[in-house]
Amino acid sequence: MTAPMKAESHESIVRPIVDGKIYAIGGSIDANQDLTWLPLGLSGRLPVQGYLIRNADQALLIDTGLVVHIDAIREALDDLIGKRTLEVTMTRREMDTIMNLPWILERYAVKKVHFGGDISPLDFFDILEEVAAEAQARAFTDIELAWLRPGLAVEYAGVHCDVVRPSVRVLATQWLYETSSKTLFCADFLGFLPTDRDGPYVIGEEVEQISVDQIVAHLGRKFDWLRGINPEPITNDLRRVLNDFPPDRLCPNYGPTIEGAENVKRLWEKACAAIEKIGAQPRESVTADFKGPTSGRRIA
Amino acid sequence: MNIAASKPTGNLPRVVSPNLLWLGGCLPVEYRGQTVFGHFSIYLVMGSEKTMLVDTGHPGHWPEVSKALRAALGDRKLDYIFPTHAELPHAGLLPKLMEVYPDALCVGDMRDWHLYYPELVDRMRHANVGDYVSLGDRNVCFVPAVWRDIPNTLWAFEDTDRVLFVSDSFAYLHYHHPGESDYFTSEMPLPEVGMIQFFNERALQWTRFTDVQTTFGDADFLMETLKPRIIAPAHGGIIDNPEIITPHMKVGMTVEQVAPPAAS
Repeated sequence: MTAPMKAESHESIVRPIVDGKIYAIGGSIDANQDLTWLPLGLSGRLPVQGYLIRNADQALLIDTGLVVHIDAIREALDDLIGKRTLEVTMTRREMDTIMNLPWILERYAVKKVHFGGDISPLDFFDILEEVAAEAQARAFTDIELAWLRPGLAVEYAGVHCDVVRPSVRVLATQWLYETSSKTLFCADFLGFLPTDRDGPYVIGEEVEQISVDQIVAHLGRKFDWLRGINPEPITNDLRRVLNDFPPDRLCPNYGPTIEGAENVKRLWEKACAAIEKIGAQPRESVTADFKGPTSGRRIA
Repeated sequence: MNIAASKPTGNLPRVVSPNLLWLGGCLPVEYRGQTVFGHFSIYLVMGSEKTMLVDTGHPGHWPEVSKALRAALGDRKLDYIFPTHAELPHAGLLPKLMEVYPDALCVGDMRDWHLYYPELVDRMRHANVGDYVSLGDRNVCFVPAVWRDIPNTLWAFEDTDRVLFVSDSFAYLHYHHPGESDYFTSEMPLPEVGMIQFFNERALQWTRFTDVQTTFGDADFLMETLKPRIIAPAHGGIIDNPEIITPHMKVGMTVEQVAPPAAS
């Protein structure tokens, strides 16, 4: 594991993931808070990050991080990008990955953004979502937008990133598999395990400490639609991904990077077991605690 | 429908009632060889004392949204903005609106929002299911989102005109043709059940993996408790005959699953 490069004036640490090539950038948040994408009852700090890939002349940013970490992200990008040209992509178009996009595009004179497409030609709402995303981008930029589909790839900054469409998602999501380093950027899947450290960090054999129940708590929080389903299509798809895109490391949006092919495999199987466990849980009624309109507080 | 609505013009905004304005915009989509349009609807609720905007609209629709709001509000303030969930087509105009209307408070499920808009934290008011905002002669109540994608989604119910705001759900009209942007469902032909073309169309991807009929109990309970006269979705036209449309919508949601649930 490479020593971190500590940024002095704030709580971010730039973590080299693959020496000279891939960096995790972002900050940490208090894990003990009621967020809709974190299990309750955690303690410590949890990193939330994007990743920068670079070579001598170019850089590729995967996800733009949280707005609350804007100063840390800006300082890290200024340092890592230098005079390189930058292109940007995002694993998801959700607020923890896309909100810093406008200023990044302007500050680094970005010429191209790769948007994840999720299109089914039979699905009107898939198409509408893409149209909406493009219109949204056009509201603040006129740079080139490239749509990524499964089977396509991003080639920039000396790397080739295959697009992987995951089944564990809520909104349009793409994972990216960088072929030379065998790195899977897996968005909001398998991101958890807070620590007392600040900033992005890496684990390896520590995956042994992660229990299936911990993963159940994590996945069941954001992906609560997994409850009551037949999990077989999901777990089959996850195992297919592992087979077709064999990773030596996982780089999620939050939580540690997981280093080492065997460690990834062990964690992946625990995740499959967790999904089977969640599938066996009954779907929770969303109206069970609803006592009628105005049964609660007047908040304003 | 008993509530006095303006006649359709083919385009938004449209007055649904003296207390409800349907605004927002549409985006063109090439679909199955033709150009159709998808709604990005937002709603302005005007009570006797306060006003509330449900969802903020798509960032690309700011010109039409701002114009419609100015015209509708006149000298009144915009008091509350309720983004149904943290997705940019629904919440993307929040910063602009909060700037233009400096007294407005942002209400809804605000658990994550301090991470996204830290500069607006002091103007956020978190709501749990059952909580409500008083607009004077009516309340807007936060109710469970039976069908949604991301967890921190709320629906809302205005309890005087009985309007249920359902965000991404009940997208009955799915897409429409030019000149149909402001039609209510009672003003459109009802497709025959056998010809429902949205069998393979779904706004919620998880419906492919789950038996969506397990959610119908929640939906029925909500309908029976609230008895809405109008259902107002973000994507799709206003449903002013829910007793007719809701059964059709349920059939449309029962899409072919990737794998049915294992027998218990």
